[in-house]
Amino acid sequence: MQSNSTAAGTDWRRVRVVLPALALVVAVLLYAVPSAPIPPGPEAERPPSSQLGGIGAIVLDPGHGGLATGTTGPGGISEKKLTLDIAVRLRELIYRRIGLQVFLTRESDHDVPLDQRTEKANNWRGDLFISIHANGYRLPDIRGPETYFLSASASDQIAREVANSENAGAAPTGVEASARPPDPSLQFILWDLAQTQHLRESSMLAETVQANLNNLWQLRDRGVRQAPFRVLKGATMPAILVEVGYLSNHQDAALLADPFFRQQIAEALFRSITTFRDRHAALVGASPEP
Amino acid sequence: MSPRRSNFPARVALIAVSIVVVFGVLFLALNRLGNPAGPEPQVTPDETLPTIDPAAEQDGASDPLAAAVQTERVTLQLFLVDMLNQRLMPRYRRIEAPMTIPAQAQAAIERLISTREVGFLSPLPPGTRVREVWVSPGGIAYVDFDAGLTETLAQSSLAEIYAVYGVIGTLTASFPEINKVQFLIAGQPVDTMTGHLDLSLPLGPLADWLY
Ligand SMILES: [Zn+2]
Repeated sequence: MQSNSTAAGTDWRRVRVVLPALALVVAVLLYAVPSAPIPPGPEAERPPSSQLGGIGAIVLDPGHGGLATGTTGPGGISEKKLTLDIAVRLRELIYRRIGLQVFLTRESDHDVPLDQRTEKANNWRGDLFISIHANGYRLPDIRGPETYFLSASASDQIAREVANSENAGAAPTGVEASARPPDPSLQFILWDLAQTQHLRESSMLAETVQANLNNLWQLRDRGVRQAPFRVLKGATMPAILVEVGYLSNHQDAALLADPFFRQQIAEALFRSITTFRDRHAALVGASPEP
Repeated sequence: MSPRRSNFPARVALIAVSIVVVFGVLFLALNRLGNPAGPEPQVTPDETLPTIDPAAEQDGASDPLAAAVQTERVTLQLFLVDMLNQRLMPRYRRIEAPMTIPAQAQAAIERLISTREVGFLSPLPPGTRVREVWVSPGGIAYVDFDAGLTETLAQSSLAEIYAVYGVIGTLTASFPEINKVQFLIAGQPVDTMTGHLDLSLPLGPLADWLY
């Protein structure tokens, strides 16, 4: 009996050792769970906004900046300056006329990595994302505006990669698996899928923008197109990329060098936003601004 | 000594193990909820990035085996920029190339860079160097360009789109064994070449840009 009670005492001492150890394991597990990758842009961070037609905050992304000049045109005109100029003009229009929140991914001449631009937009809980660029190419005849949204095939492809990797227990590709740190792999897949659910709205916004810019240029439509633009991929909101003409074309470059024309581009983008907001309101059943 | 008493340490151990297992399962389940895509995928050996053998980069002419490499005639579809229609269009070429798909794919891209035809432009800047091409069993061609490409390629979205889809169109149309292309610069994966397209994943052909 004595020996038994001693044995039991020893057991309870073991339990006293095991229980804190278990508590430690539980604490570590509980700590580790929140660090699991989460989709970008937590709901809780949405700022209060007028939410007219579901559109309360607009994120404008002036392309390039700093050492990343982008494309350049005659007379030293550069894409990075042009895009910031148009973004600032557009911000003024939105603020003054409809009072929506407007965020710029950069306010000055410095480069912001592409993923950071999208991250900012998600953290600001933007309802629309418009990336502004100017194009250029070796063929000087190419001119006119173009509007892009994320290629469906790019997002389909990612969805298939995810499915394949789940089925086969394999990474999407050898390159990602070997060249990226292992932990964020799923996070970047979620990031890549973020825009997929907004493709229809992004397409609608792109069509509206392209139509308004075509009215300004009065040229043969270069059309809305799809491509796997990195800055659009992680956006958790309708997102487009606008190319406001070709700096490699003399006529476009002359137009873009003119502040009056840049103001007209801003006006065309502003009209597109209000049109999209009204259509969006009709779709979601909210009443648009009177 | 009753059996009950003698089992006591074992029962404590069993309870401890059970708690650990329960929390382990809970942890995995919660983690899975946080990741709709499921657990982190494992790498299959056949999809890992092959290491580049420095010897393989040397000029084949000095290699006594190179002279013995068997070749065959291959029909290529090179996607060149049609200057009139301002789009990528396939142009057919026949070349003599070694009898392996990676070697033929590399020859195809080199031909894409060097080819000349009135009314057409190469989508890649003149002088672009291809370091190596290899093809995974899954049909992904890994195309490794010299670092010079990031400097010579015009910093615009159209230049990047033409370069990327010119290569993708050429390889996927010329070789049924290839269905996607992963771009590398100086042996490393890149997020983008000019700050526009996402090149971190292998890309397949896109109807908007080919034909
Ligand atoms: Zn740009």
